[in-house]
Amino acid sequence: MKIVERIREALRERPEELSQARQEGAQVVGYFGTYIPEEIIDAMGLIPIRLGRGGDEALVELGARYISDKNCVFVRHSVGLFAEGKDPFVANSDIVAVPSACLQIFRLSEVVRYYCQRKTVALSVPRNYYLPEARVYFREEMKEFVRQMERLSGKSLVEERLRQSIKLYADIRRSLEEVYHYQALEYPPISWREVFEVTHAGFYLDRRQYLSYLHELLAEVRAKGREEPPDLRPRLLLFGSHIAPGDTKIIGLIEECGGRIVADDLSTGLRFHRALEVKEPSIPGIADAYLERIPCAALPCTQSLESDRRFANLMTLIQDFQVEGAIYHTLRFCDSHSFKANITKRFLQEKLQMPFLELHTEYSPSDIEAIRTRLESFMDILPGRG
Amino acid sequence: MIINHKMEVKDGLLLYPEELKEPFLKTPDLPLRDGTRVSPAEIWHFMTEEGPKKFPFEFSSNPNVRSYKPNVELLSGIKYSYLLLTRRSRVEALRRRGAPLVYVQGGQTTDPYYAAGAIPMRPGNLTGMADYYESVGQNSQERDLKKMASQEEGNRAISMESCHQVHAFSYMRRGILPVDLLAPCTNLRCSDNTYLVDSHRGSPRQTPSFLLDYPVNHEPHKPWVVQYMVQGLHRLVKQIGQLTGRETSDEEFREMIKLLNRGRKLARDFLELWWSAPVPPASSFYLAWVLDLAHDCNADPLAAAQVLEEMYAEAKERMDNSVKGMALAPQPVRIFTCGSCFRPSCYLLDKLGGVLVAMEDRLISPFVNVAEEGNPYENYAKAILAIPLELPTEERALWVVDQVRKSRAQGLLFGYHWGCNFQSAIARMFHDIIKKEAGIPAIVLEQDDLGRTETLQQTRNRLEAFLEMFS
Repeated sequence: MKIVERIREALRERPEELSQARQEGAQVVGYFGTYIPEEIIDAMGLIPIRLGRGGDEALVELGARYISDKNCVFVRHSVGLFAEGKDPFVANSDIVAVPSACLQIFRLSEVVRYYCQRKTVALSVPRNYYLPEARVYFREEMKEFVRQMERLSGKSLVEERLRQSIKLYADIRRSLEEVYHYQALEYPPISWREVFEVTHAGFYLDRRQYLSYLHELLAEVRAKGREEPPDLRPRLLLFGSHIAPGDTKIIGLIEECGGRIVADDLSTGLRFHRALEVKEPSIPGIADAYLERIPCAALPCTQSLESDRRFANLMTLIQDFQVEGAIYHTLRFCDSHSFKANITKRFLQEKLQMPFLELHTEYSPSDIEAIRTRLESFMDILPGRG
Repeated sequence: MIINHKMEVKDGLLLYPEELKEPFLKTPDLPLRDGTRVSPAEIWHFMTEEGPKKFPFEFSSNPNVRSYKPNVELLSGIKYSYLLLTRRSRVEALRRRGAPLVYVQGGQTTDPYYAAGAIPMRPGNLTGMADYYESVGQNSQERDLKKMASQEEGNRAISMESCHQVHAFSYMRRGILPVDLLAPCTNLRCSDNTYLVDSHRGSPRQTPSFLLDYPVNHEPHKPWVVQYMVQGLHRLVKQIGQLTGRETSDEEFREMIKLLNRGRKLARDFLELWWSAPVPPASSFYLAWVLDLAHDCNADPLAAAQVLEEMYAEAKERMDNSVKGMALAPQPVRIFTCGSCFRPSCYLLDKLGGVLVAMEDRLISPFVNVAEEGNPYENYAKAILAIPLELPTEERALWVVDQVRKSRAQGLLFGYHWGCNFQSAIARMFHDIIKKEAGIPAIVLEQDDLGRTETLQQTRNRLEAFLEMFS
């Protein structure tokens, strides 16, 4: 699609743009996870960039020298990015913000502050996010986050700018969600992989420019006719651990084995912008919205599986996108997802008789063929095959 | 009375020598929380007759077994061992009277649980207690095989990458451990625990659960953090109340705080005594026992406080008479250990020329002092939010540096277990700060023997090499 090409071009130019902007006095806030409020960062006149890439074994090894080889592959890779210092987005980040939803990400911030002398801010996310006192707590934490950001950046949060930012991000989320929903069709005018790529572009590009790209994309997608023949490959839900930009191993293998990803519950995919609505244009309003979003698996849950919002979201996705098979991807030492593999599998099989495959892996290519074998076998049992 | 006795070896077991009976019978009764008292005669009978038959693995004469203790230096140590070995029977008796067994986090204090009438038990103690269900009459090798099978079951059911706390969950899943409530604090020493609780929703045993949320950013200037914890504590106590059928008054909570403070103060006094002695007055495992007992009380804070008093008195007498630990070298290398769920084999450490001067893992209790007047929930929340091990890593390390200086530690071991993400993540950073600020050698050790007893050789190699640096 033409617009996707233009987005790629804009991405290639973005590091230089950021560097230029910083020379002119702009400040960049690199952040991790899905709980850092971009609206606030943007409203403070700072540039939000979502950090973290994947797929490079060498960076995993480098990162493990500072953190440990018992940490999640993505976290090691991210520490490696900081240690190496070559990633342009990491290099251009003046402040690094992390939520404490994933405690390994929190440790990452301690390690990069100490070894790479980075300015860091942590936002504490309550584990009992569904309790009323957690809402009160998180509102105060969000105010504290703003205070810390103001102190580090020298910039203040202005209410009118906050309203504008909230509207901007609401528009971005709405547009992305609309693009995503074309995956429910038998004749999708855009592939899931392209949508995933476009979602990632939104981590880096100027957000106003990004919104205009999304509008163009939607126009192009709406105008596109039905593709012949229909895409009858097995319809898959991909979920689990982080699949960061640059980590294409599992996605590539799924496609090579004849599967079609129609939905995901990835923190770098659909879940990043889904079901987040800021109802009140204020710091507490933003806190409430982020706490009410579909929870990250890094937050433990003691509610029944039926009451667990994550599971409810999975059921909705499976229904809305007519999913035929679920692929649960877990990274090595990503405890938040791997510990939940069995209960997730049991839940989906009991409720929906959903075929389920767990793929536990790292960034090394050494297990590619083993994964391929498992995927091929999995595809063979799915109804859409052939 | 000062004693320096070696245990007697008979049929592969270490047994208390008969000459200790008479002085031991002169020690006080042990009061238990259920209102009963156990006489020294009953304890002696159990520890010399019943215990070795039922739990031979705890009396093993194999020096590679973690529980190996060839010497008796404090008579009160026999009472500590008694509390350990009678955990199962005491817990069962308390449960019959309506006290729920509650799974808690390793590094947290337990005041609200005891106050609410529960029996809080951390994963390590639960795993140990499981031995008294599964391994009655077995030797240490047989017990180890059972433990390995349990770990395998847990790993398969939950995750191969869990730390060995998965043991406790395997026992719970299979109904071996009668846990009534999972209610750990989400404190920062551990990330695996909360995911294990989460995964327990898929267990065949539908045990109720609740997470007492310990916020990550808990700087003292944040009053909302205290309020959040206070509300969590109220929920916790209420949840326990649903199992006991009774409410807990503020006064009951205050009284329990006072009792536990008493034990914590005794541990602090013992620690100061240990640090002030030219050479510690007993073998390393006694320090470990004192810190353990102040920390989790072995299901009975009243009995724990009594034993701690006696241990302190005996250690002081030894110190006043310039008696050092039997297993200690004339100038042992003073070792400070850090990291959670980590302790090297005390026998091994002493044998290789070292002595334990502190375990950060268990320094929580000596350094927690909860205010005893006023709102107990607020007081408790403020006290636990100040626990040094829960501080951001740089602050935590600097606090340890301070304790390293006070304890005159010469070397530091930072340890963690295979599968532990959270402590391993900052092991190198912690180690670098200690070396730079305290100027002492430090080493990071990854262990794989939590819950097992005969996997010490790799640790031994590293420990030996480390201690050789000091000779």
